[in-house]
Amino acid sequence: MGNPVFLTVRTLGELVRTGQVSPVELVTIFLDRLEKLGPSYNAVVTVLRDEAMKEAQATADEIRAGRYRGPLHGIPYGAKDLLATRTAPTTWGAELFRNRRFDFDATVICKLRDAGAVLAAKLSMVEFAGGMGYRQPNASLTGPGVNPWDTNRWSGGSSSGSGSAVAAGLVPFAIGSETWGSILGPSNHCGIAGLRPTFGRVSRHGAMVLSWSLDKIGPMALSPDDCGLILDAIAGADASDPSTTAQPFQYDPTPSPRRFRFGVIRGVTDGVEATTRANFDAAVAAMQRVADIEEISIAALPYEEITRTILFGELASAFEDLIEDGRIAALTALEDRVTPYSRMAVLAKDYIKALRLRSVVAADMDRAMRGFDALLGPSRPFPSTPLDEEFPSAIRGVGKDLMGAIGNLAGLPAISVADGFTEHGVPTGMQFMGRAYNENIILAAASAYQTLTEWHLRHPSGTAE
Amino acid sequence: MADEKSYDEVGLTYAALMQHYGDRLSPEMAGILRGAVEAVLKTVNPVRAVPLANGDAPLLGFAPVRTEE
Repeated sequence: MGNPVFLTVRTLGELVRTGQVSPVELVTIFLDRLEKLGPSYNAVVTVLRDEAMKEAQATADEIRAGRYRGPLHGIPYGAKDLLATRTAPTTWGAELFRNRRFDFDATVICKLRDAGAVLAAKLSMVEFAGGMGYRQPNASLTGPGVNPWDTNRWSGGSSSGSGSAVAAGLVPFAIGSETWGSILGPSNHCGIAGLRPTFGRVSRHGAMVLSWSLDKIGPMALSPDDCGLILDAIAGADASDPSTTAQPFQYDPTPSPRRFRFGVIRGVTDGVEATTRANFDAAVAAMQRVADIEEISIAALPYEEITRTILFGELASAFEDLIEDGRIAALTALEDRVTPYSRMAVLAKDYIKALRLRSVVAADMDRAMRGFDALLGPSRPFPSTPLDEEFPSAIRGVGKDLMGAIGNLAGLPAISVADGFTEHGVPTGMQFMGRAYNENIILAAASAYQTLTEWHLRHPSGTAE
Repeated sequence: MADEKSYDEVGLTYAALMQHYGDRLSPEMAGILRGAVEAVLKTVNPVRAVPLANGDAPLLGFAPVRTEE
């Protein structure tokens, strides 16, 4: 076998299935990379060498015995450190919980184990998934997430380690979570494929709660196809998470036999950074080879404010104990020690009003998207920023993110793929946002885009060895 | 309906929070809190301003619970 770094999960899975590489060999290579390169990117909280090697041996034995479980069998991965695991601390990115352990595994971890995947590392994240008001990338017990494309720049948040670990080839895939921007953001900044599934598609049991009605868990990988394979393994109803849907999901990698039809929301690039906008415009032009694209209008509503009101109301309750007893004083970022108190300014009537408006938005958007395979937009309104600078954030009300607000408010799936680079050499991304439960369509659309461009074939220099 | 702008909601909310949590905050942190309260109210005021009809219901996930005995 040659160098497995930056091979897709599908390719690695085939190498494992055909015996060209053993899970032990594969896991060893990626564990070595996690230990050697992980600290350079502040990407890793815990490397699970002993546990991963045991699992790798067990999967190798199974495969040798003819019990092949599928494309994830024997493939190592990393999980954002807000997913409970028995075998390692689960820190939620906070110094406060550096040594905290759970006595159970999150449903996603169990499902990936059932699929034969090998948990190799718990990956870094912004403390408390970034809901507390942080302004700079250093709001994490592991330090700021470092972007493999430019180590003076941020990997994005809050799934910082998941983004950088995949981009730097430390793991073939990772699990991230998004409340508003935490999968698409790091995927954008790190130039990888990141899928935010439909709300309820993936169980959150065992995941830290930032917002019950906004949190989603999803895959981050090198290709949309890999995201589909991973979603196939982790999707499904779970009695332990009543928000999960009974709508079945089975990944269908078949390319679309017809032209796509995409919409672009009028004004979606207003306020977007110039290179990001130019790269998006070029991506839209490229997609016209395989799609009919038209501009659409949506109702003038305060989408970002509605989503923020729900987020603020729910996180004030989710972290009420830590706010009331003052333990937030132990958080890394100064703003994170103070801003949570302000969330109490959201009155019950404000929260309910936002939920009433959510009904309007969900119905409006479903109507607006009828007949379209996806809406297109920049994955983030700005590219990766320097590590020591404040970054714009729609969650703080500084910077726009119309599609992020709408998509998370209405629980819609979206995938980000790289659509170019800035003059600083960091990636930008385009998102395909679909109707609820249409993950297969947006995965096919993103895959189609990658047949037209080669951005996804680039990798950060110095990471392949 | 009371005029939302007829009183200093930022000031009153900030004062209430300072009364409750002020002993935990340095002057620098108190300044951050004041700005954060302003930001929250800048967020909720546009939400308050959108007219809705009485029948426009919230999107809630509640369902009654009935477990088997």
